[in-house]
Amino acid sequence: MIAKRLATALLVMFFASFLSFSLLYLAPGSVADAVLREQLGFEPTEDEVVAFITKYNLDQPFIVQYYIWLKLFVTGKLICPQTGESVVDEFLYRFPVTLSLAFSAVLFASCLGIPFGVISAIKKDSVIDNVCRVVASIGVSIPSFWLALLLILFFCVRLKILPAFGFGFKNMILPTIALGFHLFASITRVTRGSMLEVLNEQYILVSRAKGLPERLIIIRHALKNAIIPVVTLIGLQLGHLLGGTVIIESIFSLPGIGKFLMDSIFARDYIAVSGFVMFIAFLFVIVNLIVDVVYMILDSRVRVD
Amino acid sequence: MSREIKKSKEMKVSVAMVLLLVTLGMFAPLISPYDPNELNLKSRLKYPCIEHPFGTDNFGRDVLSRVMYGARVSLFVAMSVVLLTSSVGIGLGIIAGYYGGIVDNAIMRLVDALLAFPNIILAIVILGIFGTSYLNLVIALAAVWWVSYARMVRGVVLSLKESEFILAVKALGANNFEIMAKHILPNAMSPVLPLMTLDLGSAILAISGLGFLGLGLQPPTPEWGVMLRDALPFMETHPYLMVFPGFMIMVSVLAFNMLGDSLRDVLDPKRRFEKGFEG
Repeated sequence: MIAKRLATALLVMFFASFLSFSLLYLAPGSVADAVLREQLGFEPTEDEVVAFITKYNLDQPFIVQYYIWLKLFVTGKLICPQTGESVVDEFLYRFPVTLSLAFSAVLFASCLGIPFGVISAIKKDSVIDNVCRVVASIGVSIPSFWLALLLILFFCVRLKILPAFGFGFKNMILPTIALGFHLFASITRVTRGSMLEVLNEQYILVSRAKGLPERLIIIRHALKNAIIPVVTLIGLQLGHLLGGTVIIESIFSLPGIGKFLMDSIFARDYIAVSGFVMFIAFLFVIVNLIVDVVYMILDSRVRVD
Repeated sequence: MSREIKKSKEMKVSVAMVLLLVTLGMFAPLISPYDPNELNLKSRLKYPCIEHPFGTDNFGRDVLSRVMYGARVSLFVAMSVVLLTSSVGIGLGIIAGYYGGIVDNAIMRLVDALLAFPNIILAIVILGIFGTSYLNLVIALAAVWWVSYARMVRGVVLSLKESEFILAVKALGANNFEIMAKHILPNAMSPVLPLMTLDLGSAILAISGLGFLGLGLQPPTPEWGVMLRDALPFMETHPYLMVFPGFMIMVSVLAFNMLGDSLRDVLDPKRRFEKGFEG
């Protein structure tokens, strides 16, 4: 089962690499011109352009260029013209920032979202439930970048208790909230819905009839099954989270992969862009693979085909 | 029973909000007090007052008028995106499901490849490489979003294909195109409509996000994301500039989310838990 899933993931990676390279290949205007102009700061001469084109094999047909690009990428020798570093090094240097941001956002979202959802479901239609639902509805609609700006405005400009920029524990609080808020709201909604569904099941009725304490019923029996859709949701939203880091890292000037991607785009460093897009796809496929496996372990009824 | 009533209430509220938004967008030229791009250097950066209820920005443009026109811009682009996305997705989904075999395989592998990217990343890269314009914005977003429609519609078509009424239509001698357009399409629409509504909200979010990054519509277009970007340098001194555009994004996304959710409950009760993905 897992072997088959792995094979699909490999195939997907292959197609993704084809797509990443196509973007690089289709970039309008001469890549050579754009890159050289950025590097030199003035119009490159004819000879320099020709030298660049032969150096990077830009005169070869598409499939050859693709092969060279893929070989360089796989062997870690794809160089960003902008910085002179290899794309792998650039990625590895920035990856921990993005990983810790995404991880803390998921942690923040689940630690708040699951309890809120459970309480909301147990106290259905109470004041607490209504408050939770309003917060969750707003949470899924609020743009993360606007939330980030409001947080900066409130905590950094008005109260001056948290730093807006830089990288450290205190600096991660606001980006985590801004990035994780949407996920927190979705988790609250899904946990609530799924808990309500499970609490209506017969085995919960049986547990109650047996006289088990309510706390045990909720945590051991209800939540254990109600959590499965939540795990699916987190898995589905991880990609969205990864995309969200681009905007959040840009706002808070966090030196992660999202910020580097934006900087490369604005610097017209398309080689770095294509490499990073590949890495992001790679990351995303791995995450999906892990989610599938976790899902299979959690729910023995699921058979992933 | 109480659940049904609550749901219909949610639907009424969301329909009202969407109608209000559409009216605002359609009649922006009639109801906005000023021209959204009219520069007035004498009244730069004015705090909200009677003449300018939402204040003015650094070029002296009236923020209220710009926010109103913003509804027009956002709705127009979001609708273009969703229309293009859904027609491509539904078309390819029906073709994949109906013909099966190599055609199905080719389309589904493309779907797999596109699913390997977080959707906003690909849009960012496409816009970054090919440049920003209205058309590129719509294409960049549609290029990734059609996938969810194709997958959904393909699933419906696969089960529909073997149903008796399709066999009957075939026996009557209808050609493939007729079967797909007249008989399969209408039956595949019920899960698609809620998704389209939810995607209108997601599109508004994505458009404003890209505008904020500088990759979406460009200044001086009165687009909410662009307005937030323009307001950044004045964050400390004139925070009101970033309140109204962001609030409008939130309210419009909320309206389409609520409408999509209640439509889904009515049309497609099985998929209640799964939410649309946002950009």
